[in-house]
Amino acid sequence: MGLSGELALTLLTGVLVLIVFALATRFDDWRTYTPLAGGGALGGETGYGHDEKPGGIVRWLTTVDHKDIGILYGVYAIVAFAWGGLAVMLMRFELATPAMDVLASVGGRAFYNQLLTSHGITMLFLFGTPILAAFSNYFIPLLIGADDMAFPRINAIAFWLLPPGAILIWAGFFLAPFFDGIAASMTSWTMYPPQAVAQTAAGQDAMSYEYAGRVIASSEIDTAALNAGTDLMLLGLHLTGVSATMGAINFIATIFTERGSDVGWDKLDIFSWTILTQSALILFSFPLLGSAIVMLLLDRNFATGFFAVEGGGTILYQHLFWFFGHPEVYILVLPPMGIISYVLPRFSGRKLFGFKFVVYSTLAIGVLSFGVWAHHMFASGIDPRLRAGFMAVSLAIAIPSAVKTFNWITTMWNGNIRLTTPMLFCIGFIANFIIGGVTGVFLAAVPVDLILHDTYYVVGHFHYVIMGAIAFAVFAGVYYWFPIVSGRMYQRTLGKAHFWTTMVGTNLTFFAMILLGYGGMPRRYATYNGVTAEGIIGYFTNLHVIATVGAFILLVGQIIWLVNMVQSWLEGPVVGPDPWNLKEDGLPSREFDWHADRIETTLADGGEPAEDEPMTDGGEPVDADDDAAGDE
Amino acid sequence: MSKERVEDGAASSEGNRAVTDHKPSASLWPMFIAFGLAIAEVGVVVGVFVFTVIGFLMFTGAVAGILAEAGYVERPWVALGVLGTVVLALGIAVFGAFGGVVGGTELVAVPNAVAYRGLSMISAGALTILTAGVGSIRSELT
Amino acid sequence: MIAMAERVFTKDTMLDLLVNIIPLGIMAFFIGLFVLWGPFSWDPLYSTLMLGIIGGSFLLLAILTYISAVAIEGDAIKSEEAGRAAHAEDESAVVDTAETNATDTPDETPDATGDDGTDERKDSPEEAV
Repeated sequence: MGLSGELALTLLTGVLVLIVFALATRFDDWRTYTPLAGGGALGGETGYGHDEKPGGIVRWLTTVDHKDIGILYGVYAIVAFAWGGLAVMLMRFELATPAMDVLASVGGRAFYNQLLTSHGITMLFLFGTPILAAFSNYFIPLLIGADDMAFPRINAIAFWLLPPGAILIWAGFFLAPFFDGIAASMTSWTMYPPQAVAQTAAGQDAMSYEYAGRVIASSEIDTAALNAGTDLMLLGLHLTGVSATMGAINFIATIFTERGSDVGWDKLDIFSWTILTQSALILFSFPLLGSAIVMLLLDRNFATGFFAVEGGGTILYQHLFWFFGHPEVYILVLPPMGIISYVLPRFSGRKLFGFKFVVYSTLAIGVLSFGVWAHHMFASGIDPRLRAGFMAVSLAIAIPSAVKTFNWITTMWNGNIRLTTPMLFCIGFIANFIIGGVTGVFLAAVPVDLILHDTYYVVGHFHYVIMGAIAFAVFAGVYYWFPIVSGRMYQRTLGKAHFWTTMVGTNLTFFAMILLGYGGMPRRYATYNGVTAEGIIGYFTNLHVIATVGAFILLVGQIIWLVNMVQSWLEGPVVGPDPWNLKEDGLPSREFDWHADRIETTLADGGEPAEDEPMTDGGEPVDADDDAAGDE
Repeated sequence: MSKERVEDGAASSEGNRAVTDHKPSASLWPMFIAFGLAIAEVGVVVGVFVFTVIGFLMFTGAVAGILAEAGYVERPWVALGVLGTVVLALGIAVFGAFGGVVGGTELVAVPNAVAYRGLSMISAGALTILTAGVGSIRSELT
Repeated sequence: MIAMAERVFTKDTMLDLLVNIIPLGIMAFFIGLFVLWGPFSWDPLYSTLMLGIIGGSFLLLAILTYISAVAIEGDAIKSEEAGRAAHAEDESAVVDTAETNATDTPDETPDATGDDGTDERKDSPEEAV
């Protein structure tokens, strides 16, 4: 297509965009929803806290309400969770046998590598961070007594950057059938150069080597042969990074400036503390990721040499990446720790033991997480003195995490424990987090790491933390706050089933991985039929089968969960103002006070027919006992 | 930030009404800002002319819209014009720096892929300024 | 400010801060270990970086711990004083209450989050036994 053709096409689409804009602005009188524009538009009849929202799908596309955005984040994260989960199921089925068979017909090793990359990036950036943003968006303003976020519109922008981000990250899969030169990226989630700089759609190397002369110049990359899927993925990642940074700024501003007058720093709840720390970590680390990605893109598309050997070298990338990457681990784990610290005491019948221990240790983790990044690079050949330094800080950071574990256990000690579904997930969190944490301490020690580096031990370790701990805390939060968000109660039997399948599946899958690591099974391999050592192939096969069975159990559990959530959201029994009987234990919480207020206001206003039920239903005693009674 | 503006606006228009901390509940623009940014980014990096123009048009338009909505600027068309100028200037800089030449035998010479991206940004900026001009004339007529 | 710091860093607060003092101690230990019995020869660049990483983390953690302690305990003292001003009666030993009540405040005025306080004596019937 010539330049003039492109111009014509552009003009045409430009006119289309303008028409869409014009229609959208005509569609509704937007000033009704924004009291800011024009004085006369301030609807006098809308009372306190009752802003009008547009109806239908437009409401969800245009909302700037923190609760709606929280729900959007949640739905988005669940879609991503499904994508990442299905990707890994394919990988696990492939790994059940040593040879390449399950995926052989759909692309073999290259496809496995694409799934691996997609699974990692999806789970970390499209599921992990957004699902935590879902909780924080919905509940932080409620917990600190704010009306909304400090910058509601920026909040909406931050969310809407995510769907295009996801589409771009997954774009390789969508485009591969139509373009020969495009495939999903195969760089793994770490995107190390030179692979990430010079990979073709077939997984080959587009870099023109001059091996004997040792000239490996990035300017010699055959850019036309590069996999555009990787470019799109990098762009998508960049967008999610921008989104996370905007969200973090918003949370910091909100927690600093929008706290209610009765919420001093001493009264700030533990979840808000962890979100504040997380936001600070995001603020300092995500720009690093963004810069590293931009440099990768420039290296790929514009022939720069940031990570070329004669430029900064590949170790430069690793430093930049892990300076972001390690704080990212704590970005993902701190809010779940906050959720556990917040929910667990509610079902232990007592306040959190050592509240201030948890706050101070959260802050300590926040600072120390920036001094440990090179423990991911122990095996990369960096100077042993550097390794020693990073090892020292890595061992020190274990303390604040371990302290929290003790706090949770002592909170439960002699408590009046109610084994509701959220509580089960809290306890599961602690159990899994201990395994994930202890294996991590071993990895922090240089000599141990050098042996276990790049084996399944590492995979087992971080999955114990990410799936066993973070996802468990997410589920605890989902069940605990489900009554507020949906106004209904979930089915407790399905909740229990979900917990047990998840607990069993997690431990089967990831403990097998730890044993695989001890056996020396390397990470990121689609096949292991090349292993020739006597006896070890059987060991690997058996453990891989166990891991696959565990993964299948996990899949079943998550389907149960999804069914439970959807069904209960639509048809679950309507809950009263205090579904967890928190008042009884003297553990009131701000968000449930708000929940009770909302029910009351709706009733007083005449409400909708369905909202009358809390009263006629007997409200809280029925539903809460329902859940609690079965649990005892 | 928007808080003060609300209070100001409320005080001036309806002095007796005590609006405290009134937050907006819906806005048209955030989604377009996000999508516009994404499309423009893809357009520039991958080098797709249409995406660049559409993306920048959407992004600058939505930014101007949200600024007007939040009360930071009085007239969105002026803001749009300024943003369009920035895009145009960036495009000219890229186009010029990478050897793009206007005039001569082929009217517009695009020697390489980077200059091509510059050219697409120039088009985006010009189209944005054009839109801003048309818009402001129209709004003045009505 | 100094008076404030004195009131903030009481025995109770230091006990709360122990959780951060231990990692500080670990890092100090490693600094001492590497300086006194370093297993590697001294290199101007890498040895400085090594000690800088540990020392920098040590410093940052110490500073943040200090700032957050002042913010948290300072607010606790403030709300305690506000509460006392509201009740304004039996103020016998002002200095004393400032110390002990710093951590006790949440018990007297149950806050909305219900999360506060380091107290393990939440009065649930089981524990009373």
